[in-house]
Amino acid sequence: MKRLTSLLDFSNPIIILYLVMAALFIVLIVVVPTFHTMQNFNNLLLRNVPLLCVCLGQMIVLLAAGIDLTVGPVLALATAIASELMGHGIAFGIVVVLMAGVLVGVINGLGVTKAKINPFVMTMAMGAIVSGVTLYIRPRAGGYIPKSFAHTVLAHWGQVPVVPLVIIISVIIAGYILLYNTTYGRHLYATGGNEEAARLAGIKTDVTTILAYVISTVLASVAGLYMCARIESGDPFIGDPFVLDSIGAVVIGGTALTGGRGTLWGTLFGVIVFGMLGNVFNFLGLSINWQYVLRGLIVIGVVGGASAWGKS
Amino acid sequence: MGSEEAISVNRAQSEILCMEGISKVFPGVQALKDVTFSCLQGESHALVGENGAGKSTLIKILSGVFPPNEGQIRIAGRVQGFRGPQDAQEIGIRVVPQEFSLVPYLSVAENLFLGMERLYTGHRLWFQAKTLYQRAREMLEGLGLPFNPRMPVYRLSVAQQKWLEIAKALVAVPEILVLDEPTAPLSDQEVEHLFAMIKDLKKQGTTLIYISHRLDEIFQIADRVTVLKDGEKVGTRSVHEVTRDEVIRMMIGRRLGELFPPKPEKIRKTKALEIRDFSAGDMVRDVSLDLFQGEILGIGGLQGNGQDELLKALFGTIRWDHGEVRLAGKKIKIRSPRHAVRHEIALVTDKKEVEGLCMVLPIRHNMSLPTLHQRQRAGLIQLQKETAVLEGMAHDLAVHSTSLSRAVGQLSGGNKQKVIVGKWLIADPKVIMFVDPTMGIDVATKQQLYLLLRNLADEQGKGIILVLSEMMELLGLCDRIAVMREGRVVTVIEGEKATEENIMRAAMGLYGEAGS
Repeated sequence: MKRLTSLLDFSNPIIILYLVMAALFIVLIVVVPTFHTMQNFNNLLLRNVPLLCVCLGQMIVLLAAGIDLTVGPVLALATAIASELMGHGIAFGIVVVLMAGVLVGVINGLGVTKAKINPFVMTMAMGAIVSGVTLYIRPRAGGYIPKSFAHTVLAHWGQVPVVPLVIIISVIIAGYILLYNTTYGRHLYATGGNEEAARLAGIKTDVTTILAYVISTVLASVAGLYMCARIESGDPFIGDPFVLDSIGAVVIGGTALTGGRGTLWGTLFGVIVFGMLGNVFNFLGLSINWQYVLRGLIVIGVVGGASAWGKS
Repeated sequence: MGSEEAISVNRAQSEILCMEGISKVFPGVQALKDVTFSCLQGESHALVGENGAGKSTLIKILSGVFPPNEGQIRIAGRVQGFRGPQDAQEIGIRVVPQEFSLVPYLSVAENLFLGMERLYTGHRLWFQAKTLYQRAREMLEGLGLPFNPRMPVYRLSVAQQKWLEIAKALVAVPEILVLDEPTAPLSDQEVEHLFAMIKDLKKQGTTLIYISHRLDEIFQIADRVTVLKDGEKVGTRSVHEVTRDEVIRMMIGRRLGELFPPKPEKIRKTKALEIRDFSAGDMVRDVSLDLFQGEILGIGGLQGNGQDELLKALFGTIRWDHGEVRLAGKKIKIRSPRHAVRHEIALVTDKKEVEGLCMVLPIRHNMSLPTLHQRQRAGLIQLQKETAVLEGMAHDLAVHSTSLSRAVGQLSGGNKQKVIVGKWLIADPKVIMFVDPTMGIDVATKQQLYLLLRNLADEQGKGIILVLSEMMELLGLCDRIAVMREGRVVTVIEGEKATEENIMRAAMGLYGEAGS
């Protein structure tokens, strides 16, 4: 209950994000007659499942004072592996995809904690490696995704897209429990907030950090599995926008790049704002170019505004 | 007192600086309350007060780092409204800060003229390295500081860096020069040199504001002294009209004896910790020491003789070389803080911000951190139980905060320290170790802490080890005092023999008189 009331706390800089979101909402409802139809709502849901997954992972890494630039490449890798292996068995494909995600996350985490490589550098390098592997597996979009898998993932119940809805709800609930109700969540915030203090409190900070990277890449793999159900193929370039979009959406949600600070609600609203933005541009028939420009402006506006708000 | 100083006080002087009715509020703290501080031209004015008294806030306002909430600053009668540190520097206010403010990978010369290159090194557009180094060499020689101007700053010793900071403030003769604890890293000879420099500057008309904890220095070079306490001004006195004791009383607001709770007579029986021939890292050598249950054991000595390292080693952050440690009779080996926590040993260091707290996180997260495993089931935290435990502890320690979800970064120094102490008390350790637990907190909180430590020892039978750099605390608070020198415990002093003189003799390697 306390967390709900904090949503309306006007001293909290995140209020700016809510205002942006409300403005977008009103614009959409007024300008676009079909916006508040069920069909468009479903469309919004369907489109933004991957972004939500990736953003939750990105946020967890940012909380640990890291950054994960491999989320895009891992997502693409997942579609490549799935489109290659699902022909031999759907479950087999899923397991290999998730294992690849775990592997990349473990390597990221070990590089950052044990080899003490800066997270930006480590995940950038791993991103390059993963992209290379993806292109080796699948040089251009294609491959085979079983219809049964795609249909299951995108199954409707009447008009409601059940599975995407279930994914969204379970990701949110799992994220909430993980961040606010588990000892791991506490260790995560503490490690990112002040690693030395956390270590002196008897916490295994390295394990905490490695696990954060693993959660992030596994969620990116899940996003990839969802994505290949939608496009019914593998695509080595499909992950590209996710790296910066995830950082942007999480950051406008109030998560600090310096670690230890950020809320699930903020991230959720960041994803909604970015998602609705895509929606509004579709409706208005504007080109994707201007969508990028506006995303950039929103990030600068919200983060700059929050910083100014915080000072006053 | 030499006659020279006396003359400079008596000379008719004009008021160069007047800070009038200055108040400053930070979230949760009133840092300054209606403070009026003024300096005469060419005087040397000492500013003293305990940590947290408001000295650095006052100096930051004077140097334009932030504006006051109320009050005005007049320089030579003119009201000033600084928009930033540049404005203050422009009219000749220079500060030598206590903390390091040089750029480590730039050279001595580049640091010296940083931001002023154009004024002192010739050309408008490009950087003339030759002139820069030439000017720097002249300038440093003029001050009697023979360093190589091309040396990168990170390779200088701490004392040399301090000199460079001082030289930087003197690139142009300042109107007002603030020295914040300048002598801490300096040797005795260097302090003499600094004082000679200060006298020279005064002759040139520079006004000095001198912040120091070392009262001897103040009586040596200051003309007047202003005492701050808890953000308010206690008074300004001429050093000729005031004694050391009076200054101390002004600083702490009461007599020394009243600060510390009485030590009860006790029979020590059970050993909480036995340390035998214990060596660890480079700084701890063959230490043998006992800690009894229910006692406060102080560790004293000159700073940097292995006191901090001994505690860190016992907490598992320094590798053990040899020796034996027994906890309640059982031999133990501690390889990491994690081990220490499992063995119910706690360490509260003096670096609150760096080692004690996650500043961006709420009180709840911080206080609960070492003991989360006690309140979880299958990885899930039992939030209600946690709230009850934390609220109880916050209440016991009188943490002044509206809620557990407040970020600790917004708390005052004293409350921060209470949160750190609280997080370890929840763990209910057998042995609690502290490094300077009262550093940077106000007097009222200090007293609460003294009382708390006494209770932990007397009522709960904990073994407490305190590394203290304040002689007063060492004598007033501890049952026994172990003195360390060059990594060894040279003596353990108690009772009648616990005097400042005996501790100092042992610390400086003059054995014999003290001892037990």
